[in-house]
Amino acid sequence: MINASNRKMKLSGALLLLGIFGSFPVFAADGGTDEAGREYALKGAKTCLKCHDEYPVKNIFQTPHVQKADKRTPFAAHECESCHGASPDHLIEPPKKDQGEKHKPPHLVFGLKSKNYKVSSVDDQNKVCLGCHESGIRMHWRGSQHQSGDVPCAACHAIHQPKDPVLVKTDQAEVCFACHTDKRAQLRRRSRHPIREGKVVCADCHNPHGSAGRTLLVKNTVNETCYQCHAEKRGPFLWEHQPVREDCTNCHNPHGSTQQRMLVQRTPFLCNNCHSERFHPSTLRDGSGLPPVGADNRLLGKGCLNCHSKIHGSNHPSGPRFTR
Amino acid sequence: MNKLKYNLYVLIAVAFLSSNNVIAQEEGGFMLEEVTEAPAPVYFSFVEGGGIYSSADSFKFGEYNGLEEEGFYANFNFGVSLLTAYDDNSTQYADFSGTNVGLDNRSLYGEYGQQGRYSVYAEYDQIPHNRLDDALTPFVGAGTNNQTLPASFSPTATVTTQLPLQSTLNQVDVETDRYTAGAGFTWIPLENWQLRGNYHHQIKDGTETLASIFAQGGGGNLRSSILVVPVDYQFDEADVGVAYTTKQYQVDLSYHFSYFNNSEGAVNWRNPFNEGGGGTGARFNDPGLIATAPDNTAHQVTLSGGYNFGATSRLSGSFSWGQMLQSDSFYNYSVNPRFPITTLLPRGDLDGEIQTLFANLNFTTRPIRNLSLGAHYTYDDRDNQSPRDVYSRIRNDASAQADPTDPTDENNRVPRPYSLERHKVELDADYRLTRIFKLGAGYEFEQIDRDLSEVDSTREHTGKVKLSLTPYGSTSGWIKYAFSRRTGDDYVTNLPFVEGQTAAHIATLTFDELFENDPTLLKWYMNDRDKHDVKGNINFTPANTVSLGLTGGVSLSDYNDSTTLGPSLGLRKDTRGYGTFDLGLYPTENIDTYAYVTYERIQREQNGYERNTVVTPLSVRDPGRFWDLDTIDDVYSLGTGVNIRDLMGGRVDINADYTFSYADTEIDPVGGTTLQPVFDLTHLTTRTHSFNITGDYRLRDNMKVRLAYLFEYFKTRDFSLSQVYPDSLNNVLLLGNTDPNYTAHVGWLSFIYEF
Repeated sequence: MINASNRKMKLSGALLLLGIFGSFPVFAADGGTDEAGREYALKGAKTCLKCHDEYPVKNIFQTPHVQKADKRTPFAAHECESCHGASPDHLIEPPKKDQGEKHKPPHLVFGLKSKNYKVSSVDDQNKVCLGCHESGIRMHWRGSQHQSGDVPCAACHAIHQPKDPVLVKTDQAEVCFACHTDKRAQLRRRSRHPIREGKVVCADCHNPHGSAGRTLLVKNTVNETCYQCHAEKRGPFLWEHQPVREDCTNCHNPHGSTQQRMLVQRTPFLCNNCHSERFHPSTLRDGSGLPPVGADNRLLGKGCLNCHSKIHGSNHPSGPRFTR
Repeated sequence: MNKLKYNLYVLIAVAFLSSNNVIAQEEGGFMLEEVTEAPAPVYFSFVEGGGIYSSADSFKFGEYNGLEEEGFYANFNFGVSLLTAYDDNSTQYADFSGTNVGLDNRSLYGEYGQQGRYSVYAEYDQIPHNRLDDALTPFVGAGTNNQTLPASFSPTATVTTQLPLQSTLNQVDVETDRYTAGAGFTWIPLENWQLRGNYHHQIKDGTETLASIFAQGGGGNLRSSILVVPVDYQFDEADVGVAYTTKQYQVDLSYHFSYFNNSEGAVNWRNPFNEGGGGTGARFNDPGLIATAPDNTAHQVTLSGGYNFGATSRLSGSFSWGQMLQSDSFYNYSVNPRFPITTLLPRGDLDGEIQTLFANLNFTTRPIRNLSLGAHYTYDDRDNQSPRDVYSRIRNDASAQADPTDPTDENNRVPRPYSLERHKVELDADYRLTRIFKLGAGYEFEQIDRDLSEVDSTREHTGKVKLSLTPYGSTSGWIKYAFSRRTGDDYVTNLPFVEGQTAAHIATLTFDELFENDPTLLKWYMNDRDKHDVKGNINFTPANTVSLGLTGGVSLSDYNDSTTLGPSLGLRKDTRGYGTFDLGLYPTENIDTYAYVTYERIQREQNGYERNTVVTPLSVRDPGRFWDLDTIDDVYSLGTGVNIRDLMGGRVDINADYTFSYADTEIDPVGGTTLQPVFDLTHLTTRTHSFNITGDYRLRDNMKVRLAYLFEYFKTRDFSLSQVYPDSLNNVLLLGNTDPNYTAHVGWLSFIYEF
């Protein structure tokens, strides 16, 4: 027989267990603590939306990061705080600004700068992103130019926006130009790739997350990168032109040029840098070869390419001079 | 006691049970009441349709934008995005978009998938490239691979006497279109695994310009016609890959295939020139053939991986093996019956092959909190294994075929399939001096080994330092300096010449005849070099409403300028610098403005030595025949703009931008006293103004009207084109293309429906 007192004892014990274990499911499902013991919000994103029910925070619900059913996403875990970190200090009533109070920041503040808070260190910011995104084209992030240059992921990516501008072809270049101002100017030159039209984007040639090739190229070498679109230049050819085979940028500036065909210098002077053979290659060309005074074959029209048109390589048996 | 114990247990239990509520109430006093229902499924879609009017009839304005001709254009854009609610059990999504659907630079994209499981996509893209309108050419069949001359054509030895040339000229456009269609997929069959693949087919179709030559007087006196030739390229590309990813390590294996096919392997044309002076060269209407780009294939297999040793160290690397193959059938030495083929080709095709091997290893670590170290090694080998045979060329259809049995015949040529091997080691360290300042230093060593080249091996050492002001506060920036010194093995000026001839022919030459290029010319990309490079940037944000930025850099490359025979020739110095000032003003939450000014200067200094006479002892130099030439590019760019949102109660958005660019290329030749008097070259200039304004007016919550205007002015003065006509040159029949100046006014009206 179990007496009433025992029943009360057992009931109170059960209540205690219920109290102990009953407290966990609430945290385990929607709350819990991080490694440092900071408590996550009980209601996840709904907690955050109480105040942040506006652009750009709420727009994250239009992005892949919020798909709870995809176990890889932040929202499959602690929702907003998966990235921003458990931020109990941030979850207090708004400060009384008229009394000089300031709102405490969330544990992690992303970006190059923030209107309200001091941003977190670049390493701390990027560690969150790399926690999930260290594979694929981001494999070589560590040690890359942008990593060692303290560029936070959020400097380029706006993950709260439905269409991250850096992933939109017509907008990407503007994101890159925020730092690469010389390239922004070069794109205004007369001869250029169709970057302004969004038909070619920076990421077609460069992998800003780091790469095995030089200058963050998407391919191992300059020429392999160019062959993505210009495979007709790939060869191999019967008659090779060495600087062409070695590096397209020996003669071309892919970011834009003041000369035709994105050449780094006007022909014949570009060619004179390497060619001073007898007769016409060694001859100094000057204004006397221009109309109305004169008409020099190497200054007008296509310059040296008026004859040596197969300058990228010739496959004609009579073409060692790149004329066939 | 029991009652006490009971009450205690109840108290504790209640305390635990209510602890959630306590927390909830502490937060919930403000925060924790249920806020919203789960956000509904998101549909972010729009359709935009409207009309464009362009006043410009200019290939240059329409170079890439599909607005080549004056007139009205109908245009459409759309974007349809479907995404399940964030807490839905399904992760289905779809994304469809179309840009400039009504124009020649349209693109379409569609993707469907279940996030975390699979995705498939298909895309179509079109890129026009308008190079030249109304090129003038006498050739019948211009733009095709078989071009003849009209019956009325009057041949002479030079262009300027080809009268009446004007009456035989036809107009033809020079332009291409790229059409790319492709599809791909990703599939996650198991946790951590991903498979992917894609295939793209591209057609590049249109015309381009190509010089076609015959020679007179034995081969050295060239006559050229610039032809408009067909472009009919097809590219096929495919990639497949598999990746395995964990937080600790990642592995990726991929294969890339690329095939290029040229449907027009050659261009046939007829000689518009008559042989002058009774030489042995080609005559009027003789047939000629020029080989265009041969079909080729490339394969590449890449294995990449990364491994994290704890949170502070990582080893990553990439290894690629590849092949580039080309075995397009050769055309014969000549198609001109005037020059019979007496020696057959050594082979039917090149059987060309380049083997590529690339390896890259990176190790980064942070042994202590403030110190980061990195070590990188790169190996890059391009091994050109294409065979080397003797080709007995017919020189520009102007002299009989080379005789392989005659050692004095210089027209027996041997190809030089260049190979290159590169090793690069990089070491770097960053030490954070304070929370704000970081000091970095690094060292690089690069060795490049070439064959068949003047320099067998070059070695370059680089030291660099960088001081960074990290972007925690209102000021951020960095400044860095690098110094490189490149040295090489002995410069053997005539090695390419010797390698390009038969050994029998080389044996017949005197020392002075063994040089083709001037023996004192040192090619810049393998010459000894000292290079200084300094760059810096500072950004200042004194308030949330203002940002200022200053960025600039100077790079100076100084090449070795001495040889045993005297001063070296070629590129001597390359100096380039730029500076940008950026200003951003954000007076309210709804207004952004910006302005920038950039100045760039690129200066190249080169020199030469005129050797127009027959071979003289190389040691004999006339000081009066040396020349110097400076090329100076000055480029000024300016831009400003404003973006205003939510005017008139949120109904109106306005965006306006203006950019200006002015480029001036000055070429200053200075000739020696023995040379003809030297005149300055006309400056090459390009001036552009571009102004655009776009206004959106919201008619309803889901509908708005867009009105836009673009003004663009482009004026260039290029001496190679200005006042240059088809018959401007004696020996080259040109296309008559002139400076592509234009003024364009473009208006755009469209309606946007959002749903």
